[in-house]
Amino acid sequence: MQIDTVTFRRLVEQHQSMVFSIALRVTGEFGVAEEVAQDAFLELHRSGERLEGDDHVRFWLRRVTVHRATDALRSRQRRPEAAAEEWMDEVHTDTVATGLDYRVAARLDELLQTLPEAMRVAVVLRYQEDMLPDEIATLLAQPVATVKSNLQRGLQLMRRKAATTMKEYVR
Amino acid sequence: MSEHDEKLDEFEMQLKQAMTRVDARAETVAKFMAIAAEVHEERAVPWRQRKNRWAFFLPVQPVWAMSALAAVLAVGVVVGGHEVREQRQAEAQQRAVAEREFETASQITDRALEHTRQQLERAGVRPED
Repeated sequence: MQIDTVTFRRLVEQHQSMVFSIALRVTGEFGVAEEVAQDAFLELHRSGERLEGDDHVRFWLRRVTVHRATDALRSRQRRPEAAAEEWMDEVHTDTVATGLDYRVAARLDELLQTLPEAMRVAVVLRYQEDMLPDEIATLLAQPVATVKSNLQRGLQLMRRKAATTMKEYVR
Repeated sequence: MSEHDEKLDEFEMQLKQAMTRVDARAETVAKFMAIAAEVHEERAVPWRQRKNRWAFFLPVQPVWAMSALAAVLAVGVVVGGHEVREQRQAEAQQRAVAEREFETASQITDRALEHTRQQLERAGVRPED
């Protein structure tokens, strides 16, 4: 795919929320997510010629974003809970449209941040990106069984925490 | 609701609703565009005039450049290894020839000495005297 300025602008507009949201939920930090998204798009600009079509671009951007985000997370060598609350309430003020109480949405995002990295990545791709386990396995180059296990354990942990800390909201 | 949603339980549905995509800030998106435009302009400039022409030595490079570099290094290693082997073989051959010549010379010297000793004995001279 030839990446000229017009094509690049279209791809950024089309995919910025996907790239930024994956980066934000994996890293848990707004500023880091912006850096990760910027890196991903710059790499798209460099490597775009190898990509064929929009589906390939979306697959490639998801993979690069997950890798960049986990790299950023590891290089900081700390869990992101501390900074998590800063953006949760802010991004969920508009979620009334989904029919879910914004406090529940913010709390679920906080619980997500308590998961270990591999489980968090799997949960983000499954529930934010609506990907099936075999699609996630292909994207992450992992066995499907590993992805299913990470999803199951991640959900289990979140359910357990939700049951004790937000039982008035979560059914 | 997508086709995947039919199998989700209530908690998963809530999780999915909570995990809606978030837009990056407008200034961040503008920054992506500005950086990309800068890179694009930079590409249009001939290589010798580029500000970042030494960027070849920076960590992130196109695959073809890294492949070419790896191929040149591999050829260098193979050719270098071959030359070293040839040099060692030549040295070993020279050493073998020199040893053979020394052996031959020693044998000739031994025979000459024995001949001289026999002549002296026949003449009644004992070498020990």
